[in-house]
Amino acid sequence: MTMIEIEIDGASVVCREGLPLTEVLMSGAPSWRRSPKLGAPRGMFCGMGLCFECAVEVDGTWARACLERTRAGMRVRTGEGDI
Amino acid sequence: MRGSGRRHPRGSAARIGRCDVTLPERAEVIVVGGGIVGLAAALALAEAGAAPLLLEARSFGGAVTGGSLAAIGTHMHGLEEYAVMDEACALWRDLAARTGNPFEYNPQGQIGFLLDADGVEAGERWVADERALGADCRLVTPAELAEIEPNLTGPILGATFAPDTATVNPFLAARTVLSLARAAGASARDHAPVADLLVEAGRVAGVRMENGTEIRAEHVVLASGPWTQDVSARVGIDLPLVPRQAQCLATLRQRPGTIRRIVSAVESGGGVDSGYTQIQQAGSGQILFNTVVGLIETPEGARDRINEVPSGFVLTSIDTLSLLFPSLAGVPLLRSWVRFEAVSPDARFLAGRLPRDGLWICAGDNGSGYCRALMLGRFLAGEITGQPALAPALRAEARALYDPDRFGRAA
Amino acid sequence: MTAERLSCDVAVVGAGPAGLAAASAAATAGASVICLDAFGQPGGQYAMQPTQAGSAFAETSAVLSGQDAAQQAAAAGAKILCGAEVFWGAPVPGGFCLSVNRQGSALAVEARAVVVAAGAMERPLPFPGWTLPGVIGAGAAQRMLKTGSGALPMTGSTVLAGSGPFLLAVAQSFARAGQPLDHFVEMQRPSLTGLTGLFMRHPDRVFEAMRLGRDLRGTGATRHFGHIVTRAIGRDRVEAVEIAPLDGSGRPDMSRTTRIERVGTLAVGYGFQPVIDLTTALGAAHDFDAALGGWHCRADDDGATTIPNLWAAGETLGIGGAAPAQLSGRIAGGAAAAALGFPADDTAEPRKRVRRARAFAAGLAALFPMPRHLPLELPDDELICRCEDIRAGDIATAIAEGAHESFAVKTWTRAGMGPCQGRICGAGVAAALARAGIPSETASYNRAHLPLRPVPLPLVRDAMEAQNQMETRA
Repeated sequence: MTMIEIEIDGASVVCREGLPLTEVLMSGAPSWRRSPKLGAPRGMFCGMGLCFECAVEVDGTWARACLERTRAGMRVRTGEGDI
Repeated sequence: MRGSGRRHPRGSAARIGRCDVTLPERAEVIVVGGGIVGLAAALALAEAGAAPLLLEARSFGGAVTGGSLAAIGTHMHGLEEYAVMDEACALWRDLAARTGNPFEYNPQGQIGFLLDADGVEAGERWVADERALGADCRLVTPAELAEIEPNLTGPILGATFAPDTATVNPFLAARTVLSLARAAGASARDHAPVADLLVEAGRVAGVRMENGTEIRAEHVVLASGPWTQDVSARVGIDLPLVPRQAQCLATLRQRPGTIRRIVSAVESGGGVDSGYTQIQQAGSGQILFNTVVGLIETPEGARDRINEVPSGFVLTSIDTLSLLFPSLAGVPLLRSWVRFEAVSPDARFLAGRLPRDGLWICAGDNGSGYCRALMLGRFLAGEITGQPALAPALRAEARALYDPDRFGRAA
Repeated sequence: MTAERLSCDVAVVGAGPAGLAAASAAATAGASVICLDAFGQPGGQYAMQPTQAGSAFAETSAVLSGQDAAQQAAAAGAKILCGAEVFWGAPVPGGFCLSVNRQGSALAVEARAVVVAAGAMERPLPFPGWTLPGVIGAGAAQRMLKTGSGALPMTGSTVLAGSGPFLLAVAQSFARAGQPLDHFVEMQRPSLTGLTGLFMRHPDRVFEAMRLGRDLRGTGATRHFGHIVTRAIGRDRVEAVEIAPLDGSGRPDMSRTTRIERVGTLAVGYGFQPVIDLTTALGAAHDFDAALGGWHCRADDDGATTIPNLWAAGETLGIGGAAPAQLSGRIAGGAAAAALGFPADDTAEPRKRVRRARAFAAGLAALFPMPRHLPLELPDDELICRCEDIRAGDIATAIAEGAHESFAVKTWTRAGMGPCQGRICGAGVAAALARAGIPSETASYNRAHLPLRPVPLPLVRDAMEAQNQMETRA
C-alpha cells in the first residue's frame, strides 16, 4: 500500500492512497458539516453520491467525499454548513 | 379537455383522479383555477361574502404560480398601469404585515442593469417617466452600484434602482392566500379538473367536472392562466391569450447576501416577443435566474406536458449570469423548470365580464401576474358582487385597462 | 471550453451487472457501444471493486464476476468510461444526447439508442434520530468495507438493522472483512416453512443462503429477529440505539425496549428503490409496484420503454437482484442493437432464465416484505427532508392544508428542493402522504429535470452547447 499526504482544513494528514475520502474524514469525526437551517451536525449517509450530506470542497471544487478517492496533495476543506 | 391548472404529464404516474372529494351541488361563484390569481379572486370574493368555490385541476399554485419568481413592484411595467400597480404592491405589503409575513415578503429592491448606450437611454427614460408619476426610483452610477450589489461586477454601464420592489415566496404566498380565503368562507378543492361549462338559456350556469359531476353557480370566473381559453372556447369565446414559455434555473444555496436585490432587465415593451432577465437570491439561499431572450417557440400542446428547459436558453442564461456575477461562474446548478405565461397583445390582464352572462375572466399574466393578483382579485370581486373593494378612481382605471373586450368582441 | 464529444450506436448508462451485460450484447452484435458509470471502476454496487491491494474482497465471486463482465464487454468492443456521471439526457435528431460530468469536465455522448441500467438506491425510511452522524445506510457500510481499508472508521459498537436479504449480504461483508459486527436487528422473522418452500423451488440458491446464514453467525453479532430500531440517540453523533420487539400487529412493543450503548455506527437498510431519474427525464412511462421497490420504468419483455430507442435493464425496471439484472441487460442490449439493424441474438435462453431469476427474487421479497414506512410515530420535530431541515410536522400540516401529491408537498415545504433533489426524502414524504390516505400511486413522483445531479455551471454550459448543436444541426 502507498501512503500519501493530503491536506484537510490546512492540516497535513497521512493516509493510504485511493481510499474513500469519507473513511479518512470519519476517522477524525463522524461529522464535518452542519445542516442549513438548524445547524445540526451531519455526516456521510448514503455513501453513494446521492444524499450530498458528505459535501466538502476538494481543490476548490464542491464535491462529495464519498465519491472522492485520496490522492497525494489533495486539499480538502470542510465546514460547508457555514453557507 | 380539462379546464384549469397544470396538465398531467405523460405516463401513469400522473393519472390522478382525486375527484373523490365531495363537491357541493351549487355555489354562488365558482373560480376555475387555483393559481395565485384564482386564489386571490377567491379571497376577495369570500371577503365580500360571496362564499366562492375554487376548483383546481391539480395542486394549488402548482403550475404558473409555482414556477414564477414572484416580484412585487412597479418598476419597468406599463406606465399606464402605474396607479393600479402601486395599489397592487401595497396590498401585498399590507398582507405581509397583517399575517406576520409567513410568505417571505422581502422588500429588497430592484436593480435594472444597463449594458449599452441604448440601455442607458431607455433606463433614463423609465426613471424620468416613473418619477413623474411619483415613483421612488433613480439611476445609480457603477460606484453606487458597488455598494448596493457588491457582486454585480460585470461590464455594465449603469443601472436603475427601485428600492421598494419586493419578492414573495410564490408557494407560500399561494398557501397563505388559500388559507385566508378558506377562513373567510371560501371552499377550495384540488385535483378537481373542470371539463366544461353548463349553459342554460344563453347564460353560464355552472361547470361540469371531468368526472361528470355538475355544479351550478350564478357566476363562473375563469382564472386558469394559459389554459383559460380552452374553457372559454366551450361557449364560443376566443380569447387573445398565447402561451409563452418561460424558464428558470436555480443554483445550490449560496451565502446570504450573495445577491441582495432583484437584478433585472427588460428587452422591449411587452407581448409574446419580449424578453426579460430576472436574477435573485431566494430565502433558501439558492440563486434563481430567469433569462428570456426573444421568443422561444412554444410548440402545439407544449403547455400540456412537463417540459424541459431548452439547451439554448441554458446557454444564454449561464452566460448572462457569469457576465453579471463573475464570482458565481463556477457554482453548481441544482435544478431547472419551465412555466407557461399567458400573454395578451398589450401585455395586460383580461379581467372582467365576458360576453356571456354569468361568465368572468381574470387571466393574462404576461409573466408578472403575481404582483397584480391581490389587486385584480379585489377588482373582480367588486365587479361581481357590486361591493367594490378598490377606490372608485382605481376601479375605473382597472375597468379601462383590463376590459376583456378591448381587442374587439370575438364570439 | 467546449465539451468533449463522442458518438456511438448504443450508449449504456450504468456499468453494473445489467449495464455491462447490455454493453457486451450490443457490442457483440456489432454496434459501437459506450458504457458510462459514475463510480471509479466498473461493476456497480453489486460487484463494487476494491481500491486497496490485498483487500479481503479481491477474490469474492461478486468482485470477480464484475471484472469478468467488464472484460467481456471490453473484449466485444464496448468502451467503458468510469467516473462519468450522466447528468442529463435529451432527444436529438437521430437519437439522444447524454450530458456527462467526467471528473470535472463536460462530455457529450451522442447515441442512436440508449440503454438505462442505472440500478437501485436504498430507500431511506426516517425514524427518530436518523440524521445523527454515524447513522448510515446499510449499503454505505458495505461500500466502506469493500472499497476502503476494510475497517469502519468510527469507534464504538456497530449495529446493522433493517430488513431483507441484503442485510445478510452486508453482514457477510463484515465477516469477510474480519470486522466486528455487534448487533444484527431484522424486522422480520421469516417462517421456516416459507424458506423451505422457496429453496425447494430454487435448490440452486440453497448453498448461497446457507453461506449467508453461516457468515452472519460468524460475525458473532447478537441477533435480534422480529425487532426494529425505534430510536438513534446522541447529541452530536449516534451514541446509543434503542430497539423494540414487534408485537403480533407488527407494531413495536414500547414497553420492552432495549438500549444498546456505546454505538459508533448504526447501518440501516429497509430495501431498495429503482433509480429512475434519467428515464423520467426522458419522458418514459413509469408504474408503481411495491413489490418491485415502488416506481419503476415500464418496459416490454425486451426492455423497450415507451420512448422509441430508449431501453431499460436491471433494477431501473424494478428491484430483483443481480441475476435477473444481468440477464435483462443481455436481452435489452441485444434488442437495442437489433432495432438499429444489427443481427439479433437468440434470446430464448436468457428470457427463460430471467423469468426464473425474477421468480426467485419475488419469492424472497415475499418472505421479507419491504416496509413502505416504518411502524413508528415520527415526532413532529423529527426531520423528513435532511437537505432543507423540513420536519415531519411541517409536512403533515402541508398535507392537511391541501398538498395532496409529492410535488405539492415539495412546493409548500421545500422537502426535495435541496441538493439530493428529493431522492433521500422521497420515501419519507410518500410515507407521510400514505398516512394521510394518499397512496403512492396517487401521490406520484417528482419527474427529474436538468441537472439530474448538481453540476457546476461551466460543465452544464459546455454540455448544453454540444446538445444545442446536435439539435439544430441541418
